[in-house]
Amino acid sequence: MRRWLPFLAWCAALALPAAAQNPYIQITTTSPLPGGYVGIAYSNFFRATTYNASPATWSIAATQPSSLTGPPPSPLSITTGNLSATVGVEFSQTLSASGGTPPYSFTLTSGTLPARLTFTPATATLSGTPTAAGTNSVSFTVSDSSGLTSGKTITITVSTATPPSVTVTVGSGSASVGAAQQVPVNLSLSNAYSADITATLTLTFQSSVGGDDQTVQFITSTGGTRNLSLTITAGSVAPATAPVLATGTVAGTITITTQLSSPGVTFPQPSPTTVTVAKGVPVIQSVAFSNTGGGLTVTVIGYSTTRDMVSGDFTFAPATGSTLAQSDIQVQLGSAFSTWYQNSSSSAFGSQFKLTMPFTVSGNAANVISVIVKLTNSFGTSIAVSPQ
Amino acid sequence: MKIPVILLFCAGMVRAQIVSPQLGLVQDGSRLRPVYGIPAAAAVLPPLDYGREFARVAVSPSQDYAIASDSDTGVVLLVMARVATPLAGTAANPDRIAISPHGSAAALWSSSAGRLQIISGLPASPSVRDVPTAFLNELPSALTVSDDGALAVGAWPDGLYSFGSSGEATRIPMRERIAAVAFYGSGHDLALATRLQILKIANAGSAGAISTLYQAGPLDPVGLALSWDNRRLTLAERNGSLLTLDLGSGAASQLDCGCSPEGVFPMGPSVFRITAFDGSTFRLFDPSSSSLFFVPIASAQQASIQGGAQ
Repeated sequence: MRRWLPFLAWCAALALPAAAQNPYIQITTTSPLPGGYVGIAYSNFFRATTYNASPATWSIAATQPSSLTGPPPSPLSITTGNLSATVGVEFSQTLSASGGTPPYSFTLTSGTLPARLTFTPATATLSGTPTAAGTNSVSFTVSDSSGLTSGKTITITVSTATPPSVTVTVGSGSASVGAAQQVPVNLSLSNAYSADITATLTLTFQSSVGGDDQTVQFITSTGGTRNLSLTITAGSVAPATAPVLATGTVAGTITITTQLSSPGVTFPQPSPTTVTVAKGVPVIQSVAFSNTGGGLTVTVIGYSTTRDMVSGDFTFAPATGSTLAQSDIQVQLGSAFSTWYQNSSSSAFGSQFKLTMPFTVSGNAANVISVIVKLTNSFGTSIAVSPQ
Repeated sequence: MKIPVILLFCAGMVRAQIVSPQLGLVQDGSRLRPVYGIPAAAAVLPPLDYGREFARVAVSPSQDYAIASDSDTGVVLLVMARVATPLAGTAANPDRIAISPHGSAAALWSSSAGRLQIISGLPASPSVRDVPTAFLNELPSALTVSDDGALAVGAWPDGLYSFGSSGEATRIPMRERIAAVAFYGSGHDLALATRLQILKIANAGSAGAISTLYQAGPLDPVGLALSWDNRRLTLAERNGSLLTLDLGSGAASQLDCGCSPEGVFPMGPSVFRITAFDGSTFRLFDPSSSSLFFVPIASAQQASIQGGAQ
């Protein structure tokens, strides 16, 4: 190529095509420059200049001498990571470049990104939370510091999330729970989902000793229920607040069935979660003792998970200076408790009871000052409890 | 010396009575609701009908009665079972009602009447005495009364005032503002909380020795109370923190209730109500097991026991 300069000189220049450009290339003349020409070789570029010589012809060659070690740089190109996004799930991917001479700058040159995804040139980052499934092709150009450029068209695929499965555990996850407890019910999705999910929990209680226990229920700040709906917000794997399960006071099996729902989605059917409340000895919560009115009254509050009672042992203590002809009295309670537990109103509070036991006294009741109570049901005998 | 011998006889099965246990009473606006069940399996039943509504209510720690002021007349009432009867000799419209740790005494503060009244012998034989407090016309930030009714203590900005059975008032100067006070059960020892510490005053009537029970502030107390056996002290803070002190070992434990406590109100010997009933639930705290319990509103079947169980 040749170009006349109007006042000073004319020069000829030759550049290697972009695909062949390489910083290790040396350009040399393969035939002598004609007289009056000055030649300068650059990497990838040769220029010859004259002020007064006639046009001439000569040859140059581009070579990579063996003394220059190291692989030739790869051509400038755009590289990307995973370009698969999920509806409702936050996505972020940064474009990078190879070859050329850093730093690079990236430009989105054509195409439309998936809705709610944006490209930030300063960080070369594609980010956002896509709202719809689909496939989008977009083209980017990268430029390096020497002005080289390269383009690439990429495909971003947005798919609908896999419907998650749910795991429900009660308390520590053990298969049994204690009576008269309130333990957390933990719901956990296998993966976050792109839309809000409603989890409907249904509780059933099967007594192993007859009757029911209305106190077995889920409890949240809005009250108690056996049918509970919770919302697991998009992108979360658990509800904001775990409900608690009141385990009640009757031996039996608590079964929690969970259903997940979200418009247009079919979720896998989870297995029911089952926990058992075991039979146990009576539990005495409190004992009250009254020695007024010429008699004694002992009031015992507690529960019996077997929903039965055999007997009560009452051990009275006399005041200093007094003697009891009989300090230990055993009372058969089977009939009274059988009647109570057959009463439907007892099921409202499971196996709970308030037993008021009157005793008549021959002598001054005020000289009996305390009592220790033990109760026995079909499972065994409680610990001894005295008034607090 | 003749030792009296006492013979005991079981009254027989026909007289043994079994019903659902009643945990106590809870205020629901201008009404009272019974609470049935043990703490972990309890329910709030429909409001009791006393034929009137209440402006201010304090439920006894023993849960067998409440003291309330009539919302229309301001008359102070003793509320037991399903009957509310005027408490003779009391000034109407008290600004604050405090009931002693075991429920045998109460203190009424009335700013408008300019007096403190102490009721002893509750609930069976109430006896009211006036304590001159004209020099204190400001509502106390905290008020408590001993079980025997001999002492009442209130907290004002310039310190504690102790009011004795002879009408004497003793100022106990405190460097820090008192946020909560409570008598120990069956005694005159006093626990109090400031924003920095929890203190004990031995025999508050004679302003005895002051000792530190806990010092790891800052605290933001909304109430404190002791278990009936005086073994544990529970303090509730505005941010939901529940601090329990084992007064035997001195060990302290803390729990976040995830709620907004309104105070520490005994419901029986060892369990405390810490939130108000909001129409759906309230929260109980059992410091002996560091357990928190929801008490929900009753189901229809649970509510149906109310007719025959009381």
